[in-house]
Amino acid sequence: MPTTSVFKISSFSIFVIVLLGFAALFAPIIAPYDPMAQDLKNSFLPPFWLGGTSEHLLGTDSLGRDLLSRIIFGARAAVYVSVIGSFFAALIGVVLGLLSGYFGGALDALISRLVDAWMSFPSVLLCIVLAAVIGPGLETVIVAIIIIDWTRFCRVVRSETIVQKSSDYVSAAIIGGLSPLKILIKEVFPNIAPLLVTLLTLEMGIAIVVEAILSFVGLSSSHIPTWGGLIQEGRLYVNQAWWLMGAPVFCIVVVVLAFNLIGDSVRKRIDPVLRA
Amino acid sequence: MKNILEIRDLIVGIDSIPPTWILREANLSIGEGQIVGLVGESGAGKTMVSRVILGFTPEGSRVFGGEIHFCGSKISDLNRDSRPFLLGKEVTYIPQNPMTALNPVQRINDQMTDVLIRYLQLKPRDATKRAVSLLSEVQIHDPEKVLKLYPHQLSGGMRQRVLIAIAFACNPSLVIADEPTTALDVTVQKEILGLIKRMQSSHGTSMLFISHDLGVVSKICDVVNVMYGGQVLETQEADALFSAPSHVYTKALLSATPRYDRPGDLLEPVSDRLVTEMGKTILSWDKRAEACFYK
Repeated sequence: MPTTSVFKISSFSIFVIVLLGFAALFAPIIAPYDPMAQDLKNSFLPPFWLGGTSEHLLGTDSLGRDLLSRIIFGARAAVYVSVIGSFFAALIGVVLGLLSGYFGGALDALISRLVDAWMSFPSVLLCIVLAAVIGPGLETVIVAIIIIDWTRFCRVVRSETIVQKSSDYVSAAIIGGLSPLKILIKEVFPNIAPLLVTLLTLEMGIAIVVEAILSFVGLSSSHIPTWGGLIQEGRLYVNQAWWLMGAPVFCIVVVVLAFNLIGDSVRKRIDPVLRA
Repeated sequence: MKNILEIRDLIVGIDSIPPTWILREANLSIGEGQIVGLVGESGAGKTMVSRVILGFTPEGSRVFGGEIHFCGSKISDLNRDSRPFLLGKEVTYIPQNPMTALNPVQRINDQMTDVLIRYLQLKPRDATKRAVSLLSEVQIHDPEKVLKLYPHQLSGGMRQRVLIAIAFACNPSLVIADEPTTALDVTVQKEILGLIKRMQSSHGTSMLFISHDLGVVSKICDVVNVMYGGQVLETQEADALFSAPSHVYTKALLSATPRYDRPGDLLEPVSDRLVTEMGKTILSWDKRAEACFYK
């Protein structure tokens, strides 16, 4: 395994993610303009390298709002959605997966069939239905992510728990009289944690894409700039000002790629079995 | 001699209708300070015997009849939850596969001291000291360093040594070794066998040694039990068993095993006739049992 390439890939991902986090945390300070401030005289300015001005580095949209500022504030929405959404999806999925895998029997059958039924719904459609019921907004996106994607965690954690359960050290803990809860926390969970890190980072990437999809169909927040929302607005003017759509698409691609790559390299680093 | 463990007419089966029998009135006793071998082919019920002693029968199976006495008290009536301090402290287990028996995300230190803290009520620092002395007892060099390692950093032989150290950590009365050398290569096997024997005699522990390898059993055991179809067919002192086996099956087994002291001998496979005959005995036992448990 060429370690240098792994290192380069992970340092690229870390750079992207740190940049994302930084932009999200300090958006009001970094952003050169108020993302909602309109300046109709200066609409459709191109980015500076295409003949625009250095005052608007990425140009402006149809209402003369600064695209760079909107992208930076969009990072805020992306981080918010992906962190909270994937955390709670993981929480529900892990708890149900552990219980289902460890206790088996009727409980396992119930949870597993629930997951199967859940996964048979087309997820985008489910998102849209859900958003239509609760009404549009960033919180809706988060709820949609949690409700749809807990099954990913649940399935993986369940199967991994079954593997762990049959191992000798879990048998030893059972014979030694440790309670199921302690066994799950002390023996089983640490062994599936590396897997969870990978899943979690993958899920963050997915969450950003889901947000984009929901924004695109107009079900995310229309008050705050989001990357999906920017794509949707930019789409209308793609023939005159492609950068309005190009810039947020680029951001999404780079961030999702970074999340996927980092998941893999983190797993390689912290999994004692793979490290050997 | 006093018996540490006695199994009388133990019947275990998988709870279906009709039940699939695994142990058919098995009898076994282990004297104090003895190493008792249990040999038999795959599916003879060797591992099941150890599982029943540990109260850890696989899902779906249950004990239909018979008794297990440990140090004079009947433990077959106790369920698993009411005998945890017996298991782990008085009865311990050396597993078959050292590669999967240790928790990969815990350091050796934590896995060793867990037992000491729980069963001997040692303080963490004292437990670590005891772990160091145990590791040097199983001939691991630089035990302080090994304690800080994770299982994947140790070789198979080293892991098995660690597991042996854990098994003997609380000075148990009985150690069950379930094919402890099967997963290791031959040279390491020899060392581990010697080690188990040394640990057993220095701790004065009784031991149930399960194996399918007659050569290994002849090397280490005082008494040997031969199992087939969930029954113990023959119990003999090791020397007597190998020089003058009394059961036809034991004879057949022995003549099918290569012997280093008689290299020219032709090996004879266990004949079909014998297998059918023994199958018949088992079948008639099953019929009786069904009549008895499902009238």
